[in-house]
Amino acid sequence: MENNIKVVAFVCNWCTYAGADLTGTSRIKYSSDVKIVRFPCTGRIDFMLLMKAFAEGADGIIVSGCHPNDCHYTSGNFHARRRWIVFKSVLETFGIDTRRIQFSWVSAAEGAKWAEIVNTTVERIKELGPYTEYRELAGVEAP
Amino acid sequence: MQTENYTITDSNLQQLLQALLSSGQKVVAPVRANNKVLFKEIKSASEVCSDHVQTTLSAKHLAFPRTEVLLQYKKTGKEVTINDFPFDAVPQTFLWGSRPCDAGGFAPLDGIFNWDSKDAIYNKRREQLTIISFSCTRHDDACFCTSMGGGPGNTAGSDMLITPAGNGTNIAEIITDKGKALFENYTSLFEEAMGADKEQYLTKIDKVFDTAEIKAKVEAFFESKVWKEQSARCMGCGACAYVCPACACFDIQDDKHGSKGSRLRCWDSCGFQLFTLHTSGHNPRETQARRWRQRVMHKFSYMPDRINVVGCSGCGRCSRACPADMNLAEHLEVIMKMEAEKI
Amino acid sequence: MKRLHQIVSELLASGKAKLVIGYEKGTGEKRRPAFISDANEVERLVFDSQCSHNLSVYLTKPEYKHVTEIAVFATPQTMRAVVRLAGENQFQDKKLSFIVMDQDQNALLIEGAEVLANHLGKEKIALSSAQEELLAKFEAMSREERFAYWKEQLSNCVKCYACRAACPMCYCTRCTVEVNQPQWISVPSSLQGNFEYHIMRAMHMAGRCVDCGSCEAACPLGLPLNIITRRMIKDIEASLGPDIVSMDTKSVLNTFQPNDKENFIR
Ligand code: SF4
Ligand code: SF4
Ligand code: SF4
Ligand code: FES
Repeated sequence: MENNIKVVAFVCNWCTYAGADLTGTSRIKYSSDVKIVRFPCTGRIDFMLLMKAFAEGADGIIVSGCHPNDCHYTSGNFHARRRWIVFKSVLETFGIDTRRIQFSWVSAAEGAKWAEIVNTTVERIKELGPYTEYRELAGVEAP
Repeated sequence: MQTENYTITDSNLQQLLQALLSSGQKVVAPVRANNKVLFKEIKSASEVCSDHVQTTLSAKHLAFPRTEVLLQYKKTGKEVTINDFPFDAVPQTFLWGSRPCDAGGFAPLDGIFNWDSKDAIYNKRREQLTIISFSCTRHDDACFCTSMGGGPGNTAGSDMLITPAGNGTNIAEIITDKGKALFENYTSLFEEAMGADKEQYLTKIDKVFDTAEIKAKVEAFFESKVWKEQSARCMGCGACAYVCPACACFDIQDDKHGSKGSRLRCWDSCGFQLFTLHTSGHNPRETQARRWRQRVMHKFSYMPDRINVVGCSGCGRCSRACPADMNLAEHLEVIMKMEAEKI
Repeated sequence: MKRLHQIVSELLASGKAKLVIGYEKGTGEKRRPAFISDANEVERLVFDSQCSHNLSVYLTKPEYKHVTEIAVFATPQTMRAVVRLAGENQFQDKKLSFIVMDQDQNALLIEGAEVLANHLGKEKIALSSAQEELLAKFEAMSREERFAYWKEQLSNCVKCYACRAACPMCYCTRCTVEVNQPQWISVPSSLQGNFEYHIMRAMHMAGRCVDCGSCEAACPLGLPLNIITRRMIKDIEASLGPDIVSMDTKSVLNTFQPNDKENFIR
């Protein structure tokens, strides 16, 4: 069962996606349990996308983009950072398991960091197991 | 069938409920939650709340759930498989401890879901539902059942009606075949009728208006400014429609997940601004005043015309639930007193 | 009450207000919103400690969009909402006046949202002792307990959207719950859709919620919605600085600081 976990990575095109590309061209092996979704910028990653990922079967989520001050659009990641600060607090209120979301900054030069982020996240999610607790909410009739 | 009268003691009534539960039947009864009382499925007789006037939500979800899965579909390659509604899976359900106005609230729903076409799913749920109501010995200022043709001891809609008669006894009226079937399964718990008039045990609610008069009035005042005045404070939420036992507006929506999904029938409310919004952007009921008028007209004029029943049982839930204190009975009273020239 | 009626009469007579949104006696002991544009009706109006409905919610409704001169009875909660709404440029074509109660329960006229903003104190909205207690109990819960708590609570939510309709800050003409391509908020009456709705609403309130409690007060099912907004405000203050209600503070998610601090992004 623990081989069946799914991790979805929401990454920005300019840094993390390029970084992940570098991981590949550098022949660094990393977990294949991650599915990458490319976005123009972390500023574009709406929190509802994360909720939908959990609902549709993700057991873990990675959100990654350019380091602060490096955003291709200058401030997308600054906005995103605030959004994640608030989102994490809101999720904690609702008892959503925030250990299942990994936020990170991975630049186009950090191929090795990307592999490390993916691997440690996948490992953690495997330990936590599938996020059925959340998916099961869909089957609970209310009222 | 002709209503039959019996007597049942409090402890036998408990035993009847216990017997239903022990035999594995699905029983739904008023239960306390969050300082509110709601109809929920119970597992033990002790969960039942009996010192309340009215539940916040009606019991309509037992026949008309908040979302009904009408069908499910799945696409594999070019093949589409459709799973129809599982009629056989609808469990027999006993609604225990409803009020006469809850039972009465099913009449407008029955009418609507059998008006132009017969709704098989609704009818199946209705068929499986047995309603054991309790007469009201108390009421609050929102109750106006008597003005809607009902009353605290009204039998219409219930299969069995229990009227607490004090001293540990109750009058049990067997009203329908379903009630009779239940009675016949547990005959030993009932005793001969005591011959007492149940009226003396019921709470008294003054009748302030008459449904036929209201119908005539609201029709005459269609163009009146009263709708705008009354609805000025309405915020256009769905609280009133969602708590109402007789509101039946619904919306068909698809719940899609890749190549599979389901078609749903969801509660809706004519009070929502989106309810009549067209794709073009035009909205024939553009203001809350028009939506409020529709709500009142639908209940008190269109439904009597089309299905011969008033779309309100006078339970007062909408007035209790409304965050803006829109009080339906009070609004109707104002309309009743209006003079033709005041339009 | 005399002073109150006098102020309102004068506002209507001078044309400074074409519509007055105040309170009147409602069902039983309740007070309810009252809409008056005729000076002969001012006697209906009351303003006392029982008046709690946040009347600023009406100012952005389409029904009142075209009325420019409006006078509103404002409780501290209403004032906070008005100031924040003005800060969000919602009243650019409006001439608003406000009737507030001073410490001695005397009616006071305030003209314009800017003046109201100056009048607004720095005090937070006090919670009832029951709410305090619940919040403390909630804070002590583990993640699993909080999840279980909301599963229980949200199992009663019928998505009637009274919380949204009563919230002065929920004025979008097209709400995320009504967007169906993509379907952000799941439609079936399941706990999942209810979690999604309330998480989405909280996020859209981030840094905007004025803590007026209207959502919780409106909920016919008695859901403790204040827990959500309160906790969010508290966390925002802890990580991003004080939550000040004024005309020119930008809402937290509308702005940023290059040196914003967090400890969870790797
Ligand atoms: S509950 Fe009240 S505010 Fe909400 S739509 Fe109904 S009448 Fe209007
Ligand atoms: S008012 Fe209450 S029941 Fe209605 S949508 Fe909001 S939380 Fe749910
Ligand atoms: S979210 Fe609730 S407390 Fe916050 S502004 Fe809206 S109604 Fe008031
Ligand atoms: S472009 Fe990478 S975060 Fe904005």
